[in-house]
Amino acid sequence: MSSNLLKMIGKRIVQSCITIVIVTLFVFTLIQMVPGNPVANYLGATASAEQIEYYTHLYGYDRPVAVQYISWITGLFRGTMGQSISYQSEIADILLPRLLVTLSMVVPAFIIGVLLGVFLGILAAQKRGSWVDSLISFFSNIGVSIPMFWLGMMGMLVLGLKLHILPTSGYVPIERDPGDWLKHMIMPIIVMSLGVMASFMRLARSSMLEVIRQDYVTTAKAKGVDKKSVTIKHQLRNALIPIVTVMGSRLGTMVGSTVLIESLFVIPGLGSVMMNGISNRDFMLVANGVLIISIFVAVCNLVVDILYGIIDPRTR
Amino acid sequence: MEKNKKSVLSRLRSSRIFRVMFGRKLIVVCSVMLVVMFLLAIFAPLAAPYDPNKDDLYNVLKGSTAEHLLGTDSNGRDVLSRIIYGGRISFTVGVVAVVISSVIGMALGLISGVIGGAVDTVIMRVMDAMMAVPMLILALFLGAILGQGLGNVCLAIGISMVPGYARITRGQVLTVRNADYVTAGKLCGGSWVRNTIVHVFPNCLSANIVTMTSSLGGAILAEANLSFLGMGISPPTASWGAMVSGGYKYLSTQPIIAIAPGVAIIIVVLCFNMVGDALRDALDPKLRGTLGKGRKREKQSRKGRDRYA
Repeated sequence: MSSNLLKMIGKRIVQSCITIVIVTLFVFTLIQMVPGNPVANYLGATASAEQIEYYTHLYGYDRPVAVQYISWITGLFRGTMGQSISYQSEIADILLPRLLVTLSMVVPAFIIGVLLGVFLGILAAQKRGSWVDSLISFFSNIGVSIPMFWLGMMGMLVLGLKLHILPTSGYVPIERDPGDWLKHMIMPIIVMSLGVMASFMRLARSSMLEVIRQDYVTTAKAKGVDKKSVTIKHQLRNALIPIVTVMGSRLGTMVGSTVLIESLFVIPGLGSVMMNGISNRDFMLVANGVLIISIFVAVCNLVVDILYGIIDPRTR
Repeated sequence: MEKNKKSVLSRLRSSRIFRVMFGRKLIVVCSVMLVVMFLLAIFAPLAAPYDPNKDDLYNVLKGSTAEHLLGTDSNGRDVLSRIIYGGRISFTVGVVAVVISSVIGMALGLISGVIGGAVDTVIMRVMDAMMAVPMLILALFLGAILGQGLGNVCLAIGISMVPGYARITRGQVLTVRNADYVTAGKLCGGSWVRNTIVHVFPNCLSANIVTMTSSLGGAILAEANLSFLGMGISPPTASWGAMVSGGYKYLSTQPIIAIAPGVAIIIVVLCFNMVGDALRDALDPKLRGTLGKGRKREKQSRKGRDRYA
């Protein structure tokens, strides 16, 4: 590994850390903007003043804001995220297992979506102007415009209620029954992967079309390099660069959109627990959920950039 | 004389953009659809056959009939009328959120690019941090803190889209900043504020206009998502996302309640995306000459090109 690459990686790691620190400041400031005492907000109008005072002290909301922030941050390094008012337990213990449930849905959906999307996008670019291209472009345009929750509902309607192939909603832990787990996960995974597939189809198609026009492709063809080799070595490799770049943020977007899928299919993942937090006005829980997602996005982007640096020496 | 020449040139240019954009029939269809949907939303009281919020408990969950083309929901409200009124919310949120995000984003991008230094670093790091949070989650979080209501939904979605505009504008400023006409402006003794507004800003616009068109669809989709999650416009106001969510319970008996508003969302978002793409292609100088000849001629010219390629 060259020193240039190491330097680039070091710089990117520092940048990611700064981003995360700003995210913590950002979400913490936002929580402070919620009017009223968080404990009183959760307990509601029926709570007595003593109750509110007791719990406010218990959860440490009576300390100065800066102290609260610092204790939150130092807690993060020890693997704690503070206490959730609504769940009455440690936030990390609530969120981290749920993150695994979410990822078990997002990662397969992402892999399926990216592979199929890139493949079809390249196919469309290769057959530009033909009916294959029109068909693929049509589906990708519709695919990026469909609300995911609606698509999920249509899946439920057709595959669940009409054809009775798959369960409409619910979740079974994988350790209890892997077969049943898969049955419940197929539909959410398909629905999520279709969205990703559509956006990668568009991206792959336009990126491939961009590359096809390049001089080095013409040169390679003129030199008599066979077609397959031109497609793979000269076109695909360069066309993949912009695709790889957006992978990190797309994966993050997908984790974000699980809020919709998990609410619809009643899956106890990170998104549904955050929605519970919002409806219970337990903002510390929500803020930590946002933080986990943004750390995930930052890590994905970091990995992508490092890969990118290895693949493409120009970026170092 | 000089001015006249310029206006003729700019007219030619805009007509070329116009020609390229509307050269494809599909884009014309999409534009017409958008205009129709927009007019329906504006003139909803005239267009809608029923009051969208009037409960009619004698006609609950009726399927498609002659009186109610798309049936009625669980409160006996006419689904078609609610879809027509729901367009008002979608278009309002779309436009307002895009205006909020573009104004704040462009201002931040300009400040960042023009002033540079520490200000630039701080602004762009904050934008990076906002971008690390997926847009839906950011809008959801902001919406939860701000509370329900049309204004807050617009604000939440608007703020969550700010970083995109800030980045694009800053990038444009950096390329334009050292152009000759900006230097000339400086030499003429214009203040940096004047220079920024008169010379730098207009040259950042075209990239932003493209983003605006395509993010209209995104904002409408975001509103639908928030409303579906129950974090959008408060009931009983009709909103497409909330209507789909309300139809969930009747999916097995009256699926049309959930299907119809979803189709409305798809049509509007799809049309905005298509028009946005067409606008981008039309404004992209790299594609100049390859588009706007109509499909047939484009195909022919491609064939010609491929023969040599």
